[in-house]
Amino acid sequence: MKLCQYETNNGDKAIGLAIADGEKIADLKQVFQAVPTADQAGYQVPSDLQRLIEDGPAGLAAARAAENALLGSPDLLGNPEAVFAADAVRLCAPVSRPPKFFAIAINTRHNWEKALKPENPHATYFIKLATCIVGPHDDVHIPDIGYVGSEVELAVIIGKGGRHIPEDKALEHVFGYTVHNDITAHEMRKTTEWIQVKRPDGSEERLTYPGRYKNYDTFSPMGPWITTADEAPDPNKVTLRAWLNDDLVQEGSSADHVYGVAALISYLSDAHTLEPGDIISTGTVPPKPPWTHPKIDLGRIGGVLTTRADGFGELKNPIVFDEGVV
Amino acid sequence: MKLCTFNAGQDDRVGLTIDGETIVDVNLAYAGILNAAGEPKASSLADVVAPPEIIELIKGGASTEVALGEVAKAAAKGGLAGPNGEQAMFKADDVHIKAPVPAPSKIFAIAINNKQKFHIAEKPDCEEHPNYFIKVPTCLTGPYDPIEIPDIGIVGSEIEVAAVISKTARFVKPEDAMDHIYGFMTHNDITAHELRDTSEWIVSKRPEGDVRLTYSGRYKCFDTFSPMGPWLVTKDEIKDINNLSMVARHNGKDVQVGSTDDMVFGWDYLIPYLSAAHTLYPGDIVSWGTVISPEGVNFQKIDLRGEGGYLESEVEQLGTLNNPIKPI
Repeated sequence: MKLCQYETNNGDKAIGLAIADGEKIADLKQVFQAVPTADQAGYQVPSDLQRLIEDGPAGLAAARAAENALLGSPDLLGNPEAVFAADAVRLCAPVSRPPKFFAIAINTRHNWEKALKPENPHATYFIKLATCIVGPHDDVHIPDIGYVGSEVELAVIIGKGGRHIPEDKALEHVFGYTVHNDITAHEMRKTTEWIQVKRPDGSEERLTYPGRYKNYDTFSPMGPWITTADEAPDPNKVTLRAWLNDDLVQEGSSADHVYGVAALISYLSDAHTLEPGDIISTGTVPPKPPWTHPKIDLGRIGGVLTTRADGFGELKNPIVFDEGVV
Repeated sequence: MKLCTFNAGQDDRVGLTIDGETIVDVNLAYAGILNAAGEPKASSLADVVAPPEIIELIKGGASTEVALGEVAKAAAKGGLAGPNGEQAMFKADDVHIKAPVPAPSKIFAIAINNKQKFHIAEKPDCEEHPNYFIKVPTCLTGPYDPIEIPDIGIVGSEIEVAAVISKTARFVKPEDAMDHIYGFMTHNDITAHELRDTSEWIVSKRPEGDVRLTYSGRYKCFDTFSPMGPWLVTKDEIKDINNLSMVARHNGKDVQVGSTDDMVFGWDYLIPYLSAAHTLYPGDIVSWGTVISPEGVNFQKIDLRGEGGYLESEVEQLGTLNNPIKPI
């Protein structure tokens, strides 16, 4: 099942079912009316996908019942009040206000292996802000802060919360997956977002802080829908690619990730109580030669950024360069 | 005005205190006041003007300010109750006082903002600016709740003052910065200092050169690593935000001592700087940065878990946290 959040022409938010390879969007609330009353189990379809995720098994069962009713009814499929062409509505990010939004740093095996690491290395990560999140076709605004680039990723949406989740139970906590581009101010990270502190014992330490270079407004285009866990292709074998206009600028596979989805969920849950709607972005893949981070200069090149995770969908975001915004 | 979020057994509610010992349920008390004045729809009106959830209250306008003023005035006299006689006044000891803003959209925390450490640090060759990181709402815990510390080496105290944002904004001007702050709270930005040094870094080999990157997702963000409160003190109550003494005590011994006067970057810098990158929302929290240790103490070597006990975090005019330390 592919569940999305969309905006109707009068600006109302609604949950949609993406069908026909994402060419069509069905309004979940309306389709659910076609489910026999006994099977509705008194469920009220919310307008906000986050709410449906929080509703747990009841929400998921309702969406499934609605999809079955829809696919079995040519009348409903042809009803222009309930089913629309995908390009006739505005798709939003599937979860726009997650309780938490984790993003895994350096998870590509090649980069990870050649990096200098602590003695007992494990995943490192940072927090992104909800104000980064925009929809799959919304503008991404690139400030005037040096080269800012693309980081195509697959993101996990947590369905069932928990803490100290064992790895072999971790996938039971996944609601589904979506496509994310963790837009990053690579030049700013290198040049300005660090400080080398001198400690009272005479030692020094260089600290970098990701609060700003990862978190400008619109730095997390996401969508176009959530593919529910039961129907998702193997998240640890996904081809990830990004194009800047017609140029393929990133290419790789989550098969090359050091830490897979289950390991990440388990590791994060040892420190943080996970909650329904939490997002875990699982790490990017390297630039595709001859492209490098300094060359992938989204703001100055401009155009359209395309972000794809095969089997999970595609984002197409126009780039707007905000000259003078730092 | 001193506001809080408290729980007396049902839902979380916004409270107001005059003396720190009695907490008034703002929504119920205001409904009671309206009812006594003959307002037929007292509860519905109070839900809009004096909502029971703190961010909704912060979003309120002039009528909310009037309501808070009336509740505060009546609270000083005592005897407040809801429109149907519901209990609207509680002893602070009888309720669970939570972090004042339990579910903010964002928590920013400014790194290395005290003059003593900032000025001796090596910094990038550009205009001086602060670094910062993001904390998650699951860090938040109440002013008297346990700080749960796993076995991850030295975990220590970072006492700070945190501001709460009052309205949605981007690109705020320095002269308008204080208009965007609702009030201030005491915060302890509990930090896994040893984890930071030993494991939360990687030196990435890149075509454009090596980069040492440190990531704060874990060492700053374990559950309960942000005790906060007890009050959200509205800014009008604070005489000089740039001159408040700050002290953290571990089992009665001073481990951090300083003042908001130690901060390099003040609010007229930070609010414009943050809002140039991020749209601020009502209820967002910005933690200002910590202070140093007294002579002969290194707070980054204080092992809260190993030594156990309790941690007090006191900021003049804002209030004191007193959190037991719970090894997990």
